[in-house]
Amino acid sequence: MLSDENALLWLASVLNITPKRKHELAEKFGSAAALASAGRDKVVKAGFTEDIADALFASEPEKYAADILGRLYKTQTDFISCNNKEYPSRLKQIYDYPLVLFKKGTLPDMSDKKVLSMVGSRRCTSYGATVTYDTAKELAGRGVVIVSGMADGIDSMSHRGALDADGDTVAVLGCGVDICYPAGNRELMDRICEKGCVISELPPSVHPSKYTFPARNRIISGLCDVLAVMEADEKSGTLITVDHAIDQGRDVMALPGNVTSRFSRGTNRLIKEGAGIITSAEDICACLGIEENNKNKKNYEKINISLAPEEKLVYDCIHSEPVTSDEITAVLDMSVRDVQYALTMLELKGAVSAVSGHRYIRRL
Amino acid sequence: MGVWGSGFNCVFMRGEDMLAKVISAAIMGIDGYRVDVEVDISTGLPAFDIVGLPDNAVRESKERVRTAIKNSGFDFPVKRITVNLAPANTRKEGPAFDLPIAVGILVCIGVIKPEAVEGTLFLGELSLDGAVKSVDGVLPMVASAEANGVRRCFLPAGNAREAAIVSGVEVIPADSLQRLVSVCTGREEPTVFHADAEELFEAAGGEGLDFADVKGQEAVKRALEIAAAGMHNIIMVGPPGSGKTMMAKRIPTILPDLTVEESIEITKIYSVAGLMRNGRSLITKRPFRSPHHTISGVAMVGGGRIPKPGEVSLSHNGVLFLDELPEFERGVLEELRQPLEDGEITVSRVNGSMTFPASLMFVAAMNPCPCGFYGYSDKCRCTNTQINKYMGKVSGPLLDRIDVQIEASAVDYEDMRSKKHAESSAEIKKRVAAAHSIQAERYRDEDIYFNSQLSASQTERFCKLGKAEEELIRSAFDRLGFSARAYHKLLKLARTIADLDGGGEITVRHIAEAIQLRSLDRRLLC
Repeated sequence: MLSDENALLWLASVLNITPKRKHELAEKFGSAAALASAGRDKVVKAGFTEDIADALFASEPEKYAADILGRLYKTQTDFISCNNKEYPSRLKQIYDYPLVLFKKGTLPDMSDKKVLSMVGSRRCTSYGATVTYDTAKELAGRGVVIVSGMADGIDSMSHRGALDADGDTVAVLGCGVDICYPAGNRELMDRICEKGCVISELPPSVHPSKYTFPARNRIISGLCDVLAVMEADEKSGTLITVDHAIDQGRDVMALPGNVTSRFSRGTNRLIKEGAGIITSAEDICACLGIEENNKNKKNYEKINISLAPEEKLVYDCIHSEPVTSDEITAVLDMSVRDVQYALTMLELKGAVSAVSGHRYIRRL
Repeated sequence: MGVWGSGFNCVFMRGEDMLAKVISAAIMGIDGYRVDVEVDISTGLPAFDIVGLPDNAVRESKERVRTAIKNSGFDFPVKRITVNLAPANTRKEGPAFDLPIAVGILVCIGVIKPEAVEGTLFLGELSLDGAVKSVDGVLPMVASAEANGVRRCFLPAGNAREAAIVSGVEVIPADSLQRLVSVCTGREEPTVFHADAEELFEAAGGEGLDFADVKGQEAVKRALEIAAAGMHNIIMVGPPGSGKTMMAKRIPTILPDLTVEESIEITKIYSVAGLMRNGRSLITKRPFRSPHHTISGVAMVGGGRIPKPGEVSLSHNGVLFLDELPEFERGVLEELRQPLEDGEITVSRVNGSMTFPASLMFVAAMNPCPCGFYGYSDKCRCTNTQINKYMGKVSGPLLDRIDVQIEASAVDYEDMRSKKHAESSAEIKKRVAAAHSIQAERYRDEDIYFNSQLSASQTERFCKLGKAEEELIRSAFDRLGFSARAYHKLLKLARTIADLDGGGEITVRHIAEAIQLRSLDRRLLC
């Protein structure tokens, strides 16, 4: 007979059954442990399909649970069952909450903190990336937990922003937490494991598939108070998360973008349909119910850094839309070497950032 | 050395038997070596044998020699003919031995006096009517003959211009076997071919390419100037149509003019590779080689049963340009690592291992993604995976050998129409040449010529930084996410930029500019 914890671990780890069905099974038999000892035939008799019964009892529950525990030990992964008091309370409100969360790192205590999930396309513009990074950094610095999916693009930028502010961040994966997907985010994943937490409802060594991501998205929205969509095309997978958030009764906010940009078509439409509009971190604060903090307010007009005259000239040419160094050279009629020098100094002072294509955007 | 000088041609008469010795040469790597063509005619059943490891082309020369002698109006001896190509332990290839074999036979049968061919080099392929045709590798063969005391050579007329660059040798073009015999027997005055390397240099005109044609792209042009000044390898990343190829083609125009020695070295390589046909005399322009991305490894670094130089050696003292770098086969790119590191390439084959020079400026161009527009236009629909895979085709170790990484932006209509004066190649060349001579002076006692060749310990010695400079580099590493491997490259580039500035101490400005030349190294925001 399996203990309650181990039975939950077993049921949560069984593949090819939807979370919703797992809840139904556990409910029907009273508990996961009772389900495990009931056996295949009783499951079929209780009105579930043969496929489900086969998936459940493909291998013996005790053996399977032991196997999973072995895998957890080998990959140094922890798990929290839904009976554990550490289990995020917001997530438990959704109807198909994961029975067990596998995790690497320390899950921040989210009960008395505000949680913001930030999502968006993997392919993003420098505008989307910088606003995401800045917003995540600002809010994480004010105690908000930033949740995202560790994908390329917007997801990565939101984690990076939170990490750079020394704030709390949680990454929800669409694969086992011992797998880094996308593999290029290895360094980011290590940072998150160290300072925050990587979680997944899938047991270790399960690889991502096209079905695991939509399921993962419901956890991202389920964990949060507010879902912020930073950049999305009309057919972006991000919009699945929005649907989940609406089902789960979470507030949805979107970052407006250029109407001509295909990368903002989805977010602009969300705003048209009634999503909250993000014009600054303050808008999100208001929605989260955090007091405004005027001291930290980012001021785009006034800069506090001291710039040399030639740096000031170059700085004035750079705005939020990327410009190339050649364009600056042409406008200012300065020599390339002077412009390059000024750009490096501005970058080091944090006033501008280089983006791909030898182009620069304003950061302060 | 002495081997060449001791060469003499003689006929021993012992009854009916005759022996003649004629000097010829063959190629090993890009250097020539002496081959003695010994011809013996003795009584016995008529036969014609060539020994001394001849390959097929040499073995076939029997038929050409026989027919050419007959068609030049001489009687081919119906006797037992044995030809030995000494030294007998190296494989001889190519048709260049036709002429010396024919001359040897003519000496044996008494048409030409042995004294007339003494100390004289013979090279050339014969056609059936007795005409003498051009062969490859003439310059290195004549040059090494000259170094070893040969003072006269008979060559195909088509190779005369190339051979005449070697001073100290009388080059006598031979257009047919018949006329060669007339000259050797004194019936005709030899026409000696003269060429002066210095004059050839002065006569060499421009090829019409100039940086003044390139509108916009000031940052890339400056990067190319810096790269040329320190002979740094460079990679340009940019969308299609940003002028990467156009600019690469103009790099040789800003490199300092070739010296006569460099030029002869290049010509030797071209000669061995068979690119000196059609009466070319001397390569006076820095080579610009731009092989297609379907090129094989052997064609790139050299090879073959008897190794021939590849593209890296043909770019010696010049520019090797690889357009669409990720499209090249991975293996081919990896083979570039040794030549880029050492300035030479060693090719080992069953017939021996040969080292070809390959001291070159490596220039590569690539798009930022498979479609080419990533980061420049909404057009790009490549996924991150595709982009990472595309960029990943160029391996880290190869990128490590490339000092300058610059991104070219798309050129817009305004740039194209701009009437703004663009600097000409000549102006840039002047600055580059000055930087080169500063480096030559500084590294007089070292075994290097350019900043790009600085080893780690030399970098410490020659790229000393002040306090402010150290500070700047440290904050660049902290804030801009440079990888550690960029450190020495930044120093070398700063050294070159300072050299363009007159060769003084490295200052903050130089380092700041160098930082902008390592764009692929950095963790970008997006």
